[in-house]
Amino acid sequence: MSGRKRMSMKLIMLVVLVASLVIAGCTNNEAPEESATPSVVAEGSSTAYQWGDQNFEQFVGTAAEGRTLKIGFTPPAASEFYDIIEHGANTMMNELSDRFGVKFEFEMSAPNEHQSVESQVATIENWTAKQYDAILVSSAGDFDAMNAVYQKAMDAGTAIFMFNMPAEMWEEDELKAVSVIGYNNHYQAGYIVGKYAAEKLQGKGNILLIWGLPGHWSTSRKNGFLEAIAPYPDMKIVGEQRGDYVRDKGMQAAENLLQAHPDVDLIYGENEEMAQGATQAVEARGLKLWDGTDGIITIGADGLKSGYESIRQGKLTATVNVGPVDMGREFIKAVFMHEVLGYTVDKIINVPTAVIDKENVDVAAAYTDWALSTKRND
Amino acid sequence: MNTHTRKLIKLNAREGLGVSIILVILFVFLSVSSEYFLTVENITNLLMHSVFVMLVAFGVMFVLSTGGIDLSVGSVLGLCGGVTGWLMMNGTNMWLAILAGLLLGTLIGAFNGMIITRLRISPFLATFAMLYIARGLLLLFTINEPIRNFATPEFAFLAQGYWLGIPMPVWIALAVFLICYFLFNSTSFGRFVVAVGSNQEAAHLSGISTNSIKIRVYALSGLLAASAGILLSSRLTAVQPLMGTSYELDAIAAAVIGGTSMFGGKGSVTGVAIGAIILALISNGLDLLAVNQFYRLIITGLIIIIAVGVERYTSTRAKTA
Amino acid sequence: MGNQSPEPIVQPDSDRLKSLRIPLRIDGQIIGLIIFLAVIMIVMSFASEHFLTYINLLNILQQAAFVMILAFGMTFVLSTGGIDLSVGSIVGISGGMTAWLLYHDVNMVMAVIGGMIVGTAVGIVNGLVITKLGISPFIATLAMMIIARGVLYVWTGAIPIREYMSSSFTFLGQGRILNIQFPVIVAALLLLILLFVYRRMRFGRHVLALGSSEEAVRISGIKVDRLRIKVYALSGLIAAIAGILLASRLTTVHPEMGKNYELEAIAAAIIGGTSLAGGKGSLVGTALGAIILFMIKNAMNLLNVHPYWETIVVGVIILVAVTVNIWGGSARIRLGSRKALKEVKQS
Repeated sequence: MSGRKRMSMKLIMLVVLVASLVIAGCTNNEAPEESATPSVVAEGSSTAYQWGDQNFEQFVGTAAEGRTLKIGFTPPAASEFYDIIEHGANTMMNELSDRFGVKFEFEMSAPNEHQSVESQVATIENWTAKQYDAILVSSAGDFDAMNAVYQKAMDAGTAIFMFNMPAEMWEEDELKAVSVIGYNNHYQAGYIVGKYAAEKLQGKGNILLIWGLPGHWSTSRKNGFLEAIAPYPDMKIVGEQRGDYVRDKGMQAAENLLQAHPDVDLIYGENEEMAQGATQAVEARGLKLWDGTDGIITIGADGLKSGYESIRQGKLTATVNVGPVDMGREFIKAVFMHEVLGYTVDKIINVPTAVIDKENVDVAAAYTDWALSTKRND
Repeated sequence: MNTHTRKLIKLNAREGLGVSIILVILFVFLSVSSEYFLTVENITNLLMHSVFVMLVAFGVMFVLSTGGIDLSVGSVLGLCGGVTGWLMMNGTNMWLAILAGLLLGTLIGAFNGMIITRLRISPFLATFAMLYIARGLLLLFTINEPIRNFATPEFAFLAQGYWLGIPMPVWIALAVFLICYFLFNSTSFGRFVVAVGSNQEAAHLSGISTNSIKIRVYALSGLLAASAGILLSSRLTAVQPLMGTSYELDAIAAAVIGGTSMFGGKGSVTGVAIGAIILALISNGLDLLAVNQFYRLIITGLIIIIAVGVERYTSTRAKTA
Repeated sequence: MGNQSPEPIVQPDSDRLKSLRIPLRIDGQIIGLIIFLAVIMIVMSFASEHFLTYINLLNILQQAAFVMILAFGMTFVLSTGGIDLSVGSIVGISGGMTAWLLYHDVNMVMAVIGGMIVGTAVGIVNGLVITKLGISPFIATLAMMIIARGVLYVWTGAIPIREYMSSSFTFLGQGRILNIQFPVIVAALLLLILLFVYRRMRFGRHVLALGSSEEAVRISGIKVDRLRIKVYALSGLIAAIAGILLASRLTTVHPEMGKNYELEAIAAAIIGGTSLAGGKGSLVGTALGAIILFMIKNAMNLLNVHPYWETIVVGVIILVAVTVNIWGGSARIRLGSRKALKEVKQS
C-alpha cells in the first residue's frame, strides 16, 4: 500500500527527471527540433524533488563539496539483473553529483565463477586495501560466511552495505554491515508469488517448481512460497527440479517435468530466465499458456526487460519486480547519507516490490528503461 | 632408471625459472602502477588468497606427475570442509572433526585410486564421476539447514589468526610446501611418482608397484584438498553447498603454469607454489588497477597462456643447454 | 586451411591393422552401451508410465542433441590425444555472433555462416597455440575457454542479446520435420557425415593414427601440426553449429550460454568409449553416451528424485556406464592395444 504510493511518487519524479534530462541534453546540444518543450518544466524540475529548502541544500553542498566517494560494487555474478541495479545506482549518483557536487568512483567486480564466495571475499579485501569508502555486496555466502571479512573492512574504515540479500533469515544485530538494502521481505518475494498463485488458481491446482543454484535465495523463496500456499491443501507441488538460474537448464527441467505432469496449472521459476525457459517449454509442447481464465501460469521473479516483454506478448504470466532500480538508487543514497552527512541509516532498508502481470507491466518496464538509458556523467 | 630420474630432478630445479620471471615481471609492474600494491596489508592478502588453490594444486601436481588427473578436488574440498563444519555444528570436538574431514578426503582419494587401478577406468572419468558424487553428498548435508554457526574461536583462528604478523594459512601452506618438497624430491615415493608418469611399463618392470603408487597419489590429492576445504570453512565460518566449485581448473592451471606436464613425468613443487601465487596476483592486480569487469576474463586467459608459454620456452632451453 | 596437398599415406600395413581392429573393438563396446541403455529403458518403463512414450523419447533426443553435437567434435579431438575445453565458450560466442548479425538484419544464411566462421576461427587459434607454442591442449583450451567467455561478456556487457528471432531462424532450433525436432535431425546428419569422415576418409584415419603414435605419423610424412589445427578447427566449427541451434532454441543469447557444456560433451564421448589417451574413438558410441546422460536426467525428473540426489546419481551412473563399457567385451583387446601402444611410444 505504501509501496504503491511511493511508486506513484516515483512516477512523477521520473517524468520530471526525464523531462529535465531531455532539456539538459537540448541546451547542451542545441538541438533545435526538441527545444519546443516548454521550459517551464525545466524550472519546475529543480524544486520537484529535493531534500529540503535552498538553505539546507547549500549546507549539504558544503559538506559534500570536493568529496569523492570510492565505492566498490560486487554482485554474485555479472548478469542483466545486476546490470539494472548498477544503472539504478548511476541515476542516483548523477542526481547527487549534480545537486551537491559530490564525486563518485564506482567500480564493479563480479566473480568469474557463478557465486564464488571466496573470490568475493578476496575482492573485498583488495578494495579494503585500496581504502574504499564503501563496498556494496550481494553474495551467495551466508552472512556468517562473510562476517569476518566485513568486520575486517569496517575496522579498516570501509563501510559495508549489502543489497539484494534475505536479511530476514538472520538476527538483525548479527549483520556486520551499515545497512542491508533489500526488498519486500516476505522471503525474497516467494510469499507474494504464492499469494498471487493461490488467487489466480483459486486455491486449487498442481504446481511445478524450478530452483536456481542451492543457497539462501532459493531456500528463502521456497519457504515463502510454501508458507503462502500452506492454507490451501488443494494446491499441490507435484514436481521440482534445479535449473541453476539459466534458461536452457530451466527449459530442460520444465520439459522433463511436463512430461510427467502434463496436467500442471502453475510453474514457478525462481528467477525470470528459468521462468521464461519454462514458458518456452510449455509452448513447445503445444500446451496452453494462461490467458486470464485458463491455461498454465508461469511466474518468475527479478524484473528484467526480457521478462516484461514476454509478459506483454502474453507468454510469461507474471513476475515479481523486486526493485533492482530502486535497490541501486537506495544504496547510493544510503552511502551518501552515512559517509558524507554522518547519518545513521536503518539496518534494514526495503524497496517496494510488486507482482507484475499484463495489467501493470508498462509502469515497471518504463521505470527500468529509464534507468537503463541513464549514463554516468563524469 | 635411477640416473634418468635424477636428471629429471635436476632439470626441475632449473624449470622454476620461467614462472619466476613471470612472477617478477607482474610484481614489478604492479608495484609501479598501483600505490596500494606494495603494502604489508595487500601482500598479506595476496598470499592468503593464493593459499587455498596452492594446497589443492600441490596434490594435483603429484597426480599429474603420474600422468593422471584429479577433477574431483573441488568437490572433495567442499565436502570435507562441509563435513568438518557439520560435525562441529553437532558438537564434535574440533580436532576430531578436522581429523574426520582429512580422513574423508584421504579415503575419497584412495577410492578414486582404487577405481582407476582396479577397474581400469581412466583417471579423467573416474574423478569426473567423483566430482558429481562428492558435490551431491555435500548438497545432501546442507539439505535441511546451511552449515554455519560452528566456528569456535580456536577453529576460526586456523584461517583468520596471525602468528608473528603472518596469517596462519600462510604458515600452514609453508609447512605443506616443505613436506611436499621433501616428499617429491627426496624420497623414493617422489622418484617413483615421476617414474610412473614418464614410463609406466618401465616403472612396472623395474619392480615399482605402480598401482600402489597411484592409489597413494590420489589419496594425497584428496588429503590436501580436504585440508584446503577445512581451512576455507574456517575462513568463511560457513559452508556453501557450492564451495570449491571449479577449484580443480584453477589448481590444474597453477600446476601447469608451474611447469608440471599434463602428460606425466615432470613436476615441480616450487613451480606450483609460484603458479598459485601468479593466479592470485592476477586477480589482485585486476582489482587494484580497477580493470573493467568484463576484460578480466580475457586478461586472465592471456596471462595463463603467456605464463605457460614462457615456462615451456625456458624449460626446453634448459633441456637443450 | 586447404588440406589438399597430396599427402603421403600412412604405412599401408599399419593402416590395415587399424581398420581391422577398430570395428571389432567398437562393436563390443557399442553392444555394451546398448544393453545399458536398454536396461535403463526397461526399468524406467515400469517405474513411470510417462517414460516410454514417443513424445518423451523425442524430448530426450532433443535435449541430448546439443551436447551430442559438441561431443562429436570432442571425439575427434580426444582421438588425437588432445582435449578441447573451449567448446562451451565457443557455443556462446558463435551463437552470440549469429544472433548479433540477425539483430542487425543480416540475412539469415550469412548470419549462420558468420557464427560458423567465428567458431572455426577460435578453433584454429586453439590449434595454433597448441602446435606452435607447444602448450598442452588442456591448458591452451582452458585459457581459450576463459578468453572467449570474456570476449562475449565484453561484447554484450552481460546483457543477453535478444529480439533477433525471425520465423525462418526459429525453425533451426524449434522446427520439426516429420514431427522430429530439427536439432535432432542436424545431429543425425552430422553423425552420418562425420562417420564417413572418420571411417572412410584419410583425415579420419590420420586422426586416429596421430592419437596412437605421433612419431609414426610424423615419420610417414604427414604434417602433424596441420592435422592438429584442422582437428581443433573442426571441433570449433561443430561447436558453432551447436551454438547457433541453441541460440534459436533459447531465443536469447545469455553471456553464460554453453557454460559447462564441455564437461558434458567429454563425459558423453568417454561413456561412448572414446579414450582420453587418444587413438580410439567411436562416434556412434558418443551419440549413445549423450543419450544415456540425458536419459538419466530425464528419468530422475520423471521419478521426482530430489534434485540434490541427481548430482550423485549422475556421477554413479557415469562410473557404471564406463565399467559396463569395459566389460562390454573389449577389456582384453583394450589392454592388448594399450600395451602395443606403449611399445610404440617407447620405441
